[in-house]
Amino acid sequence: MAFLARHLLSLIVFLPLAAGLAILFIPKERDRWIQAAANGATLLVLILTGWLALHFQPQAPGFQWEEAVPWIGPIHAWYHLGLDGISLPLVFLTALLSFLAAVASTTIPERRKEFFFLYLLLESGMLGTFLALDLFLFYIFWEVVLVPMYFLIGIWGGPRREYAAIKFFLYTLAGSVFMLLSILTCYLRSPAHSFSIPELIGKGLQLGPAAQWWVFLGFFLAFAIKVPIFPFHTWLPDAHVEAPAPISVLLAGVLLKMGGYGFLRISFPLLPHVAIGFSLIMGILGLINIVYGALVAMAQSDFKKLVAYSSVSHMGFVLLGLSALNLTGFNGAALEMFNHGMITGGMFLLVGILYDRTHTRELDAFGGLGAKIPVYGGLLSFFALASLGLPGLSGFVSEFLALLGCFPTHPAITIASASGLVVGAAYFLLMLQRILLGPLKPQWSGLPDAGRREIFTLVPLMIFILWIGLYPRCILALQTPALTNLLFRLGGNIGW
Amino acid sequence: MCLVVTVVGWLIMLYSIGYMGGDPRFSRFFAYLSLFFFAMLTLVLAGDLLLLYIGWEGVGLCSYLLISFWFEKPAAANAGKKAFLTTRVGDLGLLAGILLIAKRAGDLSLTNLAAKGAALGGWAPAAALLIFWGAAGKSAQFPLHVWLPDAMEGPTPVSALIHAATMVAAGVYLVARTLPLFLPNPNALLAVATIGGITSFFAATIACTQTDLKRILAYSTISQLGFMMMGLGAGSAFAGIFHLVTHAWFKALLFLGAGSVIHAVHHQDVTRMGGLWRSMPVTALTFTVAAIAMAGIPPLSGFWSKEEILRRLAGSGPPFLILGLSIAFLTAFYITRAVVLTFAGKPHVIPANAHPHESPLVMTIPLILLMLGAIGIGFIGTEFAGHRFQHFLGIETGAAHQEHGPAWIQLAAIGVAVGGIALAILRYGLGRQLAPARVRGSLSWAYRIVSNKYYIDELYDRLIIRPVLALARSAFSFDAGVIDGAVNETGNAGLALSRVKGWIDQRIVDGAVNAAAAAVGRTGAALRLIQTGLVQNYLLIAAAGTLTLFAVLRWLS
Repeated sequence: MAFLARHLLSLIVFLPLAAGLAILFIPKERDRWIQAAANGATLLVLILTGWLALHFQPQAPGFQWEEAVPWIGPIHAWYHLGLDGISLPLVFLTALLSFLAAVASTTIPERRKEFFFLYLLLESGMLGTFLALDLFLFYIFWEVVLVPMYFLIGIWGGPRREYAAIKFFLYTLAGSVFMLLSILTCYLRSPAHSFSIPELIGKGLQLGPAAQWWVFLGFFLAFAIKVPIFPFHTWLPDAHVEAPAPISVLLAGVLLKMGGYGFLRISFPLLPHVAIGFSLIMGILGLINIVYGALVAMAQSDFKKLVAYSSVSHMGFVLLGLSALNLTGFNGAALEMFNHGMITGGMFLLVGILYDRTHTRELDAFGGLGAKIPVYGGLLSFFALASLGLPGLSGFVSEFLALLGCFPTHPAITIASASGLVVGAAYFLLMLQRILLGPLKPQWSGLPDAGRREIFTLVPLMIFILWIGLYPRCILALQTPALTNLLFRLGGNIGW
Repeated sequence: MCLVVTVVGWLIMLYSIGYMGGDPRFSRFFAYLSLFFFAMLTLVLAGDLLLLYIGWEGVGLCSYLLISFWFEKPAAANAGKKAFLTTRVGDLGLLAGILLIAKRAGDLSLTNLAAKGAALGGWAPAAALLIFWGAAGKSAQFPLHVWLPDAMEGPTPVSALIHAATMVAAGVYLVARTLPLFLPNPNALLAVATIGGITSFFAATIACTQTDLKRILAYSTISQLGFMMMGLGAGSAFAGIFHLVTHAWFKALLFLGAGSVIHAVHHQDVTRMGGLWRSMPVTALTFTVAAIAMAGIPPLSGFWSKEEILRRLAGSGPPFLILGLSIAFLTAFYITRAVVLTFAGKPHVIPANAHPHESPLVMTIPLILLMLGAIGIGFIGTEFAGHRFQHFLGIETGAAHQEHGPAWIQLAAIGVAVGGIALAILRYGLGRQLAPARVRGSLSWAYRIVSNKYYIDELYDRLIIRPVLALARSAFSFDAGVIDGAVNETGNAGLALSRVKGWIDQRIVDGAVNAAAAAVGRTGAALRLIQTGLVQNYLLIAAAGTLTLFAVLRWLS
């Protein structure tokens, strides 16, 4: 028991993988066992991360539940995991969405054994990415995420799944290559000769200003593709649309956060001078993401694509918060990642529910469903309102913090970005109108309302959205000390 | 304000029980209404701009939900969307104002606003105007007024509660609340008064031309809200809030009366009504009293608050006073027109299946209670009641001496009200044309513009909505064509490059390898010829080789 307690993070990371391997040995006919094993493993991870969140000490310096073991001696690569206020919300988000999406995966029709094996491998990779404190290990987990995702889209996806899967894989891999170059530069040009992130930050890099920019750009490319930042975003609509609904949930809910997390964990603390110089570009990119993403979302006639482009728009607020270089902005950015995971995760579940019943995602094919399936209508309205930033729900808090933080740094960009709020409201209301309002089309007269399992997957998200919307301090208190530390390093404004 | 929300709101809630009876979504209606009360009270009781903003958006949401309550009607669904989006444009201003105040003044509480204004320095007018922008969205001020008439697609109690008495007044409330930010900046005040005046005047002219009973009332609401803004722009929070309170009573009553009429005749066109006082006496009486109150005939409530605003406007200069008086005149005219067309005269066209009847008690009792309010509520702000309302608000006691402004303003106010009523009775009650046919003919173009609401909706459609949609479409084709195209082309280029490389690999690199192998093979084949397996041949070659070797060595030495 004591051993487990000391290796709690490893347990969390590798428990899904172990369950995935075990599932391979369950006979194919025992479908209920397979589903139960996947549900059970993800639930256990969720309980463990919940326990972490409750016992986390926000004020304690450094990392908690840290594990560091020498791994590959000659190159100083360590097996090094740790948790702090920046990673904790994302780890919890990953665990929660993984559990709910696993429950929602009952709709996957075929080859379920392989599906859940890859699914659980994916969860291990995602958790590892958020917990790794060694660049070498980080890179491995980063790539581990890629492979199962490729198969999950390519095998269980929609009609254009192969194109989407290859595009996703190659695009992300291209980014990773530049990240690898940057990692190697850091390793070679540090007096520590180490991959350890805290050590590299502590001892600094021996690089000229220009070289620092190149290293930053290498990381930037990898993270920008994941976020995704305009113009590296076009893999996202294809991958989201083709992926099966539970996988879209993880793709939008967790994978996009890996990019934003990378900035906070690696680029910014490692290269503080470049981070400051990059602030204006980051702000402009955020503005483009917000406004451009919203406009393109408005032009969509495909429900899922609309939600996908809305993600591009929302991730713009993360960039805006990062460009602020002050505590309010960073808090907004980190919280927006968490909130966007909940809200858009829920949106993709809802898209999946409707698609399962109607086998179409064409918005104009619907209409008047609000009278026929009121529970679904209510759920969809709730998530749409959260997504368009209605005060009292979580999306508003983080968007407001990002805007408030960015305002002193880049006032013009902030005001221009705020116009995205109007366009955002416009396309979500248009979407609601096209699906729920108006006269009911006759072909949907027999449509069943949301079932108990489907409601079960959405209610926990709604609770968090409402809770954070009304009492954001519960998350902000966790992340503020870690972000303050980061700002100390950047020389940013902690008082704002 | 809080009392207005709860008391007027309670009466309207009571009325709704009758009005919404039999609706399949009866329970949902009351859930939305309760949510609205929650948000509205949050807005009114908030001591902090951020909390106020939360309530502010909350009432906007409820407004959206309730306008599109009968969402099977496309018009209702569109109206709800339009209302949400137009007010959101306003909310942007408010949000920017909040950001500015947070940045410059440090905190967002609604206390010590004057000190905050000082801390804002040169930014104070900007902050004030941004807040006013937000207020203009919510209170349907020009140029963001377009959503309110369409909002009449919602159930009538909703129109009464949200779009007449409470929510739309939130903008006025906000400006009154933050008036200390405006007061040191004459230009900000001037902007408030000007926008209010423009809105009020133009909405009043439109109201004179509409034939839909609820739309007449909607434009009247816009006009009255503009009038309140004028009062605020004249620097008096009291004048604005006082008119807000009295307006809440008589306008809620007007809407509920209109709802009662619509409930009875099942349509909203005033030109097809008439003579209804016979069949619905209570509704007719209460509606008329509310109309007189709004027209500004003493001693009903509207007179007192309207006169208060006019007196303030006298301090802002003659143009504003003239504008105010002409608005008062138009108000009296259009509301009398509505009363006359609806209740007086003979029934115009009665469909065979319709038998207008008085509404049930649960609807008429709120009407009567509201009527009592519409008559009496004005007294709380008069000298007869010792200016109780002013003391209650606890504001601007220093300006009290101005209460006794020139007496001729009171007379002028009564004069224009009576004049408006008289003209309307003459025109619509007695059927007299007010101007010779030639003049009417030459002014028909002006009538057309006014009755088409100055074509502002069409203008917005052309200038904003369609360009934004076109921009969205072109952004998408740019995304799919250029950016994704570039990605795909990069992929294709990679494929092409690998094909070239494949060719090079196959023909040149592999060719060289194969050629080398072939050369070795051919040499081997050639050499194999000498491998005959006969010992004599080998000896011969060995002997020849030895001889050659010797010869070479000889030659070298």
